[in-house]
Amino acid sequence: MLNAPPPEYEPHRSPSAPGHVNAVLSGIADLDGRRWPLFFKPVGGVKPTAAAFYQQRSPVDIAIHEVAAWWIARELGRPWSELVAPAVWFDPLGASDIAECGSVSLGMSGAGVLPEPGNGFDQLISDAAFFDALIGCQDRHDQNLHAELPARLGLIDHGYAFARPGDHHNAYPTAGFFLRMRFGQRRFKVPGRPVLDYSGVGPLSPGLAAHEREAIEKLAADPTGLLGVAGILSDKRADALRYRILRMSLTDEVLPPGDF
Amino acid sequence: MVRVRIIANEISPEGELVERLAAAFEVRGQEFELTEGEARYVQLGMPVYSDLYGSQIDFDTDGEEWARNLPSAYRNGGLIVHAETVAYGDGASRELKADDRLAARQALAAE
Repeated sequence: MLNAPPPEYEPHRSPSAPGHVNAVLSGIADLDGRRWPLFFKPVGGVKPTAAAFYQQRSPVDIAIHEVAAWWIARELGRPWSELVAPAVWFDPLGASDIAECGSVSLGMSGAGVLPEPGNGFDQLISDAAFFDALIGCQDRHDQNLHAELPARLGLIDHGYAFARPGDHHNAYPTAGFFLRMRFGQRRFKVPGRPVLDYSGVGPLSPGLAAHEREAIEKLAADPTGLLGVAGILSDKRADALRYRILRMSLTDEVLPPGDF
Repeated sequence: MVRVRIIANEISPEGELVERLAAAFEVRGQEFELTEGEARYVQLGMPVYSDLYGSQIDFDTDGEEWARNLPSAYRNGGLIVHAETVAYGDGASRELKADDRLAARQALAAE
C-alpha cells in the first residue's frame, strides 16, 4: 500500500461546521487492483484546548501516537498487527508547516459499532484489551473501533494514548471498553440509550495469556528502544510505557482502564 | 437550536468506503430529539471540551453547547459529526455572548 501513489485527500462529503471540527481527510489509494481507504489527520486539525484536557499538549505528539501504536502492533505481530490500523507519518508534497503534516491510517473494514455479542469476538476483545492497557489508551469507547462479521475487529484512533500515570481517562461509561469487559463488565449503562448488553461475551480474565506474556517479555528485553517506539515518543511517555510493561510483568495481569 | 448529523464510514472487505447517515438529532435547550437514524450512535454522556465553559461538559451540563462541540470528540475516521447552530423560529439564537460565557464558567466553578 505504501508504494501506491499518494491519493488526493479530501474532506469527507459531510464536512463539519467551521470551528467545530477536528479535521480528518479521506482518500483512496489504488494498488494491485484493490482500493485502500486512508484517513489523513493533519496536525493542524487538533483542537488544542480539547487535547489539553487529556494532558496531550503537543498536537504533533498526538499524530505521532497513531504511528507509535501501529509500530508496537507491527513489532509484536499477530494478533495485534491484524487488529491495529496501520499508520504512517505523512508530509504532503509542498507542505511548509508541520500543521499540514500528520498521520495517515489505513481504513479498517467494518463499521464503528461492535456487532451483537456471541459472534466470535471474545478473543478479539481480549487481545484489544491487552493492547489498550499496553499503550495507555485514554479514549477507547464503544464507537472507537471498526468491526464486522464474520468477527473482525479494528482498533482505530490512538492519538489520545501513551498516557502517563495520573493522566485523564475519558469519563464516558464505555471508555476502556475492552478492558472493562476483560475485567468482567458486560452491561454498560449509558445516558439516553438502552443499556449496552454484551452478556453474550464469554468469560475473560485480566490474567495475561501466554502470547501476551511473550509480548511483554519481548518489550522488556529492549528497555531502551522499546522495539523502536521509544525513539518517537516523548521521554516521559516512553517511561510510562516501560512502567506499564514492568507492572504487567510483575502482576501477570493487564492494567485496569485508566491505570496508566 | 443545534442540529447534529452523525455520519458513519463503513468499509467493505473490498475496500469500498461508504458514508451513511447513522443518526441525526436536534437539541433545543435541554430537549433532545432523534430525527433520523439510530439512537445507539448518539452518546449523550460523551464528555466534550467547551471553550465556553473552559472545561469538559456533557449533555446535562448544557445540551446545546455539548451538541455544538460534539464534533471535536470524534477524530477517528469512523464517525464524522457535523453540528450547526440554527436560529430559533423567533430569530433568536442560543449563541452565548461574553457575559453569558463568564456566567457559565462561574456556574460550573460553583458546582
